[in-house]
Amino acid sequence: MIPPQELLEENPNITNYIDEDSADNNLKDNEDWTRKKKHVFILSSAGKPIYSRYGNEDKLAWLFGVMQTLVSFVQSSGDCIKSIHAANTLFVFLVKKPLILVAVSKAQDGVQQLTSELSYVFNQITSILTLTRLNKIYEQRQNYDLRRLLAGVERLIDHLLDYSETEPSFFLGAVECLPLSLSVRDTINSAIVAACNKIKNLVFVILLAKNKLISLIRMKKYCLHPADLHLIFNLVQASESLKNSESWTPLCLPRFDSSVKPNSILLKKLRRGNCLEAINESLNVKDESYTTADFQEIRHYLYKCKSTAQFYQPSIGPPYTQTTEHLINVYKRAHHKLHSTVRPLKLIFERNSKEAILAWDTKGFELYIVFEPLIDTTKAISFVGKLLNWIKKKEERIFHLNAPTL
Amino acid sequence: MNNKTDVSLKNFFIFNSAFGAKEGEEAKKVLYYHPITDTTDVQIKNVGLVEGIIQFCENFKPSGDINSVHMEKTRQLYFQAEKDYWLVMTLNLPTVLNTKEGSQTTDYSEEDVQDNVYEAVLKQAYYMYRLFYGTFKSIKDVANLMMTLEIFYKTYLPLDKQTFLKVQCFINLLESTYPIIQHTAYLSGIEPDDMKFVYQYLIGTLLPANMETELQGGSMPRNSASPFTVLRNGRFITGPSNLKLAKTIGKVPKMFLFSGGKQEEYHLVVYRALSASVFNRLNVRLFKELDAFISPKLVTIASDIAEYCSKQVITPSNLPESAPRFIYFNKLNLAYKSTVHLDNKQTGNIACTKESLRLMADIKSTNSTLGSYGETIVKTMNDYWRK
Repeated sequence: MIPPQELLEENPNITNYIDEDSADNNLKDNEDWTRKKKHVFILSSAGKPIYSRYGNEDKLAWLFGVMQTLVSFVQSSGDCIKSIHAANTLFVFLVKKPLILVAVSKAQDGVQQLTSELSYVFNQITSILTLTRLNKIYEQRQNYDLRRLLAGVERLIDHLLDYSETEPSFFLGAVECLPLSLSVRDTINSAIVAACNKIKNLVFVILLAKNKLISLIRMKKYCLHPADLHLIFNLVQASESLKNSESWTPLCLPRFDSSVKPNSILLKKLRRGNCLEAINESLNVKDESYTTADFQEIRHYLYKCKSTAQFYQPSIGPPYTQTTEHLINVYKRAHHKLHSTVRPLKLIFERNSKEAILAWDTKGFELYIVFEPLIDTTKAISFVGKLLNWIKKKEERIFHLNAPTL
Repeated sequence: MNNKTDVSLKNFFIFNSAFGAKEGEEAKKVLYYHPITDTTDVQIKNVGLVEGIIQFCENFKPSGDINSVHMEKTRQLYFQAEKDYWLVMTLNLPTVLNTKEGSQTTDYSEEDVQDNVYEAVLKQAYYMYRLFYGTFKSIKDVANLMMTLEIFYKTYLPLDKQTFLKVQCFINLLESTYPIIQHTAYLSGIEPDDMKFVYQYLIGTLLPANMETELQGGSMPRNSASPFTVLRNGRFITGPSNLKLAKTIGKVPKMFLFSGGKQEEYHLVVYRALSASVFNRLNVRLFKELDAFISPKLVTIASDIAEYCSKQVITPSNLPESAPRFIYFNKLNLAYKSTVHLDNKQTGNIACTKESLRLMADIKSTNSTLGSYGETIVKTMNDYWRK
């Protein structure tokens, strides 16, 4: 499982894929590197490089050293550094013993978002190693090079970061479901229950397709946090082997219990004729997004159902097909303002030259709608009502409402 | 019941990163440091950390200087006023003491300290200094510079600490104000940026509440046949108090104003007739002429203004509780209107909750992302609307 250190050093592809000479000490002359929208670094409390999203960690060792010094310097005065704000660039530090995670972003995200992304990365690492083991390693050897244990995990982290930049599920803390009619979903569920009922110690069965949840069946006493689901989604997406075969992968879900030994997750593809057809159909058919006909002024929206932590979005159409990141950022900003820890808001309507966004937080749901920039506010409000009605009608189809238990 | 602390000033210092580059000479970087109770070692350490952070950030080529560093318990604000000259202010975050299941924890309310508000306070600290002494660079002798800094900030800081706690700083943030447009109307050649600080000085220090009493009280009987008898001829607030006897210009504060990037030295003369103030750059010979010249004209203009002001002042306090309150700020002419404040001094005495003010500061900070055109409507948890 663990490749020897030599192998890592001989094969630069394992550690990273950025050309070798571009990231050296002269970062100041290296525009490519400085222009990256979002850097992520992971280092040990002792300053040992573990991961850099761009550039080779070994060549950036000095930079990791600086970060460690800053963190420990502030710690020495009994404080803890959290973020640095410099014009267009935001630096966020997450000190999670025994690791230090740093994000440097020019993408206009907020501190909260970056911190949560860093937590995801941290959880990704602990999902492979478990926190207990991680702590033990550093207790024994402060200077341990964790990269030895994380071969292959880099790719997961890379994928996780890319994924979180284009997916609303992360900041919403929810998962997206594959739209299916209630009868098809019930058939699938009962098929799974029938097949899995006899397997001992099976805690969850998750069926997903193209990152959309089809079915989630759980043991009665357990439930699964969306953050953990995201890690599973990420694992499935990033691992080629899982896509093509049935396999076992040990995985520790941090939100579930970060200290227990890995839960084994069985990833399995469902091969039952009639249901598969329905799934394929739903995957291929462009879903009945509500942006057609009389709702031309709605460009895109997100609807999160709070009780199930699931959300629905229509497929992304113009003008955002090429600039999905921009759209996600618009949502992220609105979400951030709505959920500001000290001054939360119920409703936001914001308009600029590119678009208008309405964000609304209620007890049962959160709704975010992106409109044409010149939309009339009264019209926007009337759209909200109509959209909610439509969603109510489609609820059974677009959400996985009653999760059966084993 | 004292389980809350408010935001407070931890330290404030000015240093030049180009000074004292040699090992062991780091203390030379520090030009001003508050409080003096911090030892030289602590001072060097703090400056060192700031320099470290600045250098670290430069690796990533941000589009501008660092504005702030957030820490769990403190907040640090940075302002590079002139090349290599940095002003740094560290604030202790407000805390709330929570007792949960017997054990006490201290929570730091990070979000209650808004960067843009305190950035404005920090910048004001510099521009106020520059108003009276000119740029840091213009004082060639370092010892001399340190002395002027000492003199200025020793008196400036305690005053500012008071304002920290008040919503005063919120006004700074919204930048300058409505009456200023009346002052500038008489003036030409003063840059708007300086104008703000001149105004701040006038309002904060020179013209205490008397403007208000004039406007609101009976000193201005509008239908009386002989209004303004007392104030008819106006008076100089700075400068000679009795014109007929004046031989020297008296104690006139010097001001350094900047136009077109050049520094010019002026004397500040505040001439006060009714509620309008005029400053001019003059010498003593002009005082008398000026008085004769300005006085009659100003009285008529000023009474108009006063009339207008009084309407303005009365409006907000008469508003019903639930009426919308607004702050309007026109960036082009620095005009500013507010129904948030109940009095004309526009410090404290606010009509809406602190929360709402903070919210407005939040909204202001998003303006940059909105671009030149935009609007924001939000609804708060207790159903207030803001636009």
